[in-house]
Amino acid sequence: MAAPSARRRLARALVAVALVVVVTFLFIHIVPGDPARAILGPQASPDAVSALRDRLGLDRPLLAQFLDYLSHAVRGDLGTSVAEGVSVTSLMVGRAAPTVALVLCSAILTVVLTVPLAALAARRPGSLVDHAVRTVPLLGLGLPAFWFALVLIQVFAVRLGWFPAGGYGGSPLQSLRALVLPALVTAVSILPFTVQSLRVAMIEAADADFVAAARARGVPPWRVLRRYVFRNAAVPAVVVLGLNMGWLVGNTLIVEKVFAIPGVGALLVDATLSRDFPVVQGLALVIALLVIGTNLATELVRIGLDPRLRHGKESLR
Amino acid sequence: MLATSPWKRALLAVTSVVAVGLVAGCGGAAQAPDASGGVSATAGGTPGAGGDLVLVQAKGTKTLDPVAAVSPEDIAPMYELYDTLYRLSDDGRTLDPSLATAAPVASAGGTVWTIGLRTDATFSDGTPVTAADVAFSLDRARTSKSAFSFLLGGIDSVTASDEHTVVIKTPEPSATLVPALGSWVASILPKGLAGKTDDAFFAAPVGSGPFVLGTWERGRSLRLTKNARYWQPGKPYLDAIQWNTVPDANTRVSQVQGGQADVASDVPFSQVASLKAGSAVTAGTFPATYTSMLIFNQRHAPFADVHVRRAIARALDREAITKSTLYGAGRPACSLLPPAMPFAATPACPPFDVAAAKAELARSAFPQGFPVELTIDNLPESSTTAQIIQAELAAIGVTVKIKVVDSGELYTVYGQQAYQMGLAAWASDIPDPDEQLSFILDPEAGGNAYYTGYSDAKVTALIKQARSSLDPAARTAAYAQVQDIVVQDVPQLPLSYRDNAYVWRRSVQQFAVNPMGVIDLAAVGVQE
Amino acid sequence: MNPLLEVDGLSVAAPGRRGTTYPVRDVSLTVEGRGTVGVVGESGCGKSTLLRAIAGVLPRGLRAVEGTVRVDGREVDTRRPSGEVAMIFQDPMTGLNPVMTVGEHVAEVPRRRDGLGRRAAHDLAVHLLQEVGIEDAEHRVDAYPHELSGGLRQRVLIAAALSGSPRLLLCDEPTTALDVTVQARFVALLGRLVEDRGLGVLYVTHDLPLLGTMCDRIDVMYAGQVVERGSTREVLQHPAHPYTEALLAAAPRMDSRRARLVSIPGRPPVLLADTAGCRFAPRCPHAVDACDAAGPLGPGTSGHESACVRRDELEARSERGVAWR
Ligand SMILES: Nc1ncnc2c1ncn2[C@@H]1O[C@H](COP(=O)(O)OP(=O)(O)O)[C@@H](O)[C@H]1O
Ligand SMILES: [Mg+2]
Repeated sequence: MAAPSARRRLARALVAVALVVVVTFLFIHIVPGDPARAILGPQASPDAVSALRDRLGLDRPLLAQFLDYLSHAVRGDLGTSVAEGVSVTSLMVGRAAPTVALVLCSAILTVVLTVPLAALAARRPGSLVDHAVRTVPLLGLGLPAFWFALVLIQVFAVRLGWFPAGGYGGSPLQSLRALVLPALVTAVSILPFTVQSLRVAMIEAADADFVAAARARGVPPWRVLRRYVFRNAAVPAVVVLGLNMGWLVGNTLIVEKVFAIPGVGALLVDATLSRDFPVVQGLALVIALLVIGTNLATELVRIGLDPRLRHGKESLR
Repeated sequence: MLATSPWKRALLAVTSVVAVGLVAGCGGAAQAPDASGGVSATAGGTPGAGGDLVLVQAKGTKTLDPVAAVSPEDIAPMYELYDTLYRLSDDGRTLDPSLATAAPVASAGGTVWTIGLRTDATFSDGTPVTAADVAFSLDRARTSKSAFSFLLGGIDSVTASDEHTVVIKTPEPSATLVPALGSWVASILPKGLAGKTDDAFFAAPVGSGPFVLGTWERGRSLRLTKNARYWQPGKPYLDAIQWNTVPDANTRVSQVQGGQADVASDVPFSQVASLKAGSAVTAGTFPATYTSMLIFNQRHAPFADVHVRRAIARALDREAITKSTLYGAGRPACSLLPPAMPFAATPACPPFDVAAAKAELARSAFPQGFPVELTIDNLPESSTTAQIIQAELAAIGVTVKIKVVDSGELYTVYGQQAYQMGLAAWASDIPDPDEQLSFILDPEAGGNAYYTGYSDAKVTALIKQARSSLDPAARTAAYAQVQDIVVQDVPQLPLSYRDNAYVWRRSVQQFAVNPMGVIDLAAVGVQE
Repeated sequence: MNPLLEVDGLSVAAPGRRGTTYPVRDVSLTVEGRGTVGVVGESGCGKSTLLRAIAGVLPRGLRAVEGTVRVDGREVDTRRPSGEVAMIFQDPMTGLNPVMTVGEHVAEVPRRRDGLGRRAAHDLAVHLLQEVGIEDAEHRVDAYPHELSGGLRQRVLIAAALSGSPRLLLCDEPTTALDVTVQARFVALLGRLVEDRGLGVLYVTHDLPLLGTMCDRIDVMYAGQVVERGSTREVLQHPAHPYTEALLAAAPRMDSRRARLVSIPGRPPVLLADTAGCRFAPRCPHAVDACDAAGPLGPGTSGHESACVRRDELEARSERGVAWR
């Protein structure tokens, strides 16, 4: 049955989280730079700096700090932001919504753009259309995301005024409108990979005997495309999308900055710059959980799409 | 693959994300230390009442507690939420009474200061502002172990002698008392924080400034609305002001161009000229106290030699450095004190001259030159500056190796004096030279003469003397002498004075930024 | 009355970098009506391509360039399925969509093309599954292909193929991947369906003896062409082409699962443009000069057709039961 493998998977995930915690803790403490100094600025007096160091417990042994962190973390207390003076969890909760919204919008937009493009390319492999669909997004890969973002802002926000030039908030509709351009930038950055993988998968699926058999016996063409070609091509394509989620999340960090989306990325940049250790640590943890969660979700979607991966059903021989 | 090692990829993803964060963080906007007084530009006519003003800035406000505020984004709202006893005059060089009715009356040789308070000022909750509130607020600020409590460090006691009279005692005559009382650290809060805890009070702060807190979404926006009880008649003109966080400089400009925002700060210098002539927007630079400088660690042998420091001063073309980094938004430096600072003098700075530099170096213990490491942070303009320095010092035989550290790490390295030569910057918080000169020249003042180890008894004595003198002429003379000496001694080499660059919509009226980087938003309006 | 299937002069071209090849070249064949016609030939000689052309599901890169295909006297477009023929593939693993249940496969055409209701389509599916001999059909409708054995899958494929009520069934080596007992049961089922439904079947295989048990007529294909044709008895007992004889000699032993025709030396040629003469000649131990000018199929002495220039000779010897030398 599924239980042992699920348990093993969960155990691995826990190990991963633990590793992430240790690695980020060491990482941010080994990277030089004094959070107290970084926060207070160059003209703060040594007194003020040492007072803050004292308050943060930065002069205690690393191990003691780590154990202290752990014992609080397991109770859901990720500490207090050094720079903002509020709890890390409350800080992150406020910042998570825009990021999650952005990642979701990006993922949806990616799918919406990938499917027709891949279908177009897969219709006649090797044709002019196919080459165009495959090479044009590659050009997008060459230009940096922030540059593409600036062009979009100049054209669609400053010139045309269709979308805001960055920012987030207001009504849900306003927020959604503000997410269109950033989601587009993110989607375009992974489009070459997703289009290519879906295209290959579709060509492969279209060549399968079951497609020819279905067409021959009279299954309507649109249904063949949907139920036979897409459904089978979706399995590897979902895996590629899942693999790219890390990249997608990484990209949102840059995109958040350019589009002034007050998300986790902006927080991470701020926190890293000001050596706000508790926040960096908390974010690393959350991002690790997100990535692991995404992997699990990808796997679940795969299992949902491909009955061969389902366990527990007895083979009917 | 998916089934076998999700954790490997999670780990990879996280480390890459953290790395991205670091890199992105490093590329972030300059962390400009904040500034103190002087108006240099106005736009529009007499403001009409009403309207909202949206300002976009690189970072978010992190606290509403004046004692905890450190960054320009923290400090700007302080001047709107709270009042101080004195405030910067329009030219930004002197202070005018604000909650105080007049300049303090000094007695006992300048160690007892009596200040009368306005009787018509109330907090936004309607309670009157009293001397007890002032005493509480100043005590709270000067005894807090915060970054800027030192500004009020020269105070012995603050007492309320009656409801509207405050008496401040200083151990010695203090020329910096009034400028310090004009800084945000000295914001007046209700006594005892109206019985609330710090957290509760600053979640819904009560002040007597022109605006009150509307909404604050951390990291996203801070909105203040008009304080209907504000004591200055007719002010503020605006119904509301809102700061939005927009980390990317280009996006900030775009938002003003697109009408989403009215004012953007930290505009790239290279864009100011082209933005100036827009039909709906304009741009400008405002003199500030930000001074970039080269600092020399005197524990490192060559820099203990004054001839070496002088040789470097003559070998560097500060004009060229300023042009290629500031695009006209600043001037090459000579004195340690920027022109926007009161008492700034024009000492005789030896001009750029490679032959003279070589001759000077020949008189040192390192006549043939020496290799040296130049520590900088990872901002683009630092690397431009460093490359010019590297090329110019090569001409006198000093071979520079550039060492880049993360901007969050720079002052830790300097603080440990773990550098040889470094790029640093200073900006003042009050319109008085004492803060800067003490910190960067007096080895006792805490900064170890801005991490250089420089120590000159005469300079230290002059600074102390100027601080405790209430005679402007005597202060002028002392500061002039200090400025002359450091031009000769070169403990640090000032490179350029940098302005603050803004872009704003032409509908904004009376837009001006003082040398402390503060906009008097109570005086600003917008054309509907 | 029109024949059920009439292929006339069909050529399928494969444009390639080194010139156009013709996997199927000038093939004519007929399935009169009810009954099974066999097509036999080595792997690579164009059998699958022929079937796919008839079904209108040629793979990418292949195009019918000459000739016609008629079903019931009406010409059909080889570029798209006519819906009147169904096809079963060699590999039951790949013939079914892995993400659809058995029931969905079988109920799909009645429901989506013929507009049956959900319930009716489901009942029909169960009925069809029972018809092809699947026990416990009510439960197995919900199974996924990977949950079934190869023999069951092949039956499901037939049920799905029958779901559109075709009159012609194209079978492309349907039993090659199955073991012998399963294969025998499958052939029996096919025979029953031909009887019960009046189906016409075009059955492709490389297993010549197998055809002997199930076909009325046999077409022997080599290198994209039909080289011999006749009644099953005639072809098996009096092969009139050396290639047919070689196939018979190389017939797989009954216990081997995937027999390969290793005993015919050489390989089928690549069919570049028009190669004149007999294409088997280079591999034929009995080739003579006249082979270079060999023509199309012609009638032999015993009434069936062969393309061999020495067909009469060959037939005569095989009739005498003497090994041909
Ligand atoms: N898409 C294609 N493009 C080019 N040649 C093809 C293609 N498909 C099949 N062929 C060629 O056509 C010939 C006949 O193949 P096929 O019909 O599969 O033979 P069989 O079914 O008899 O084994 C082979 O030589 C094969 O290489
Ligand atoms: Mg085949």
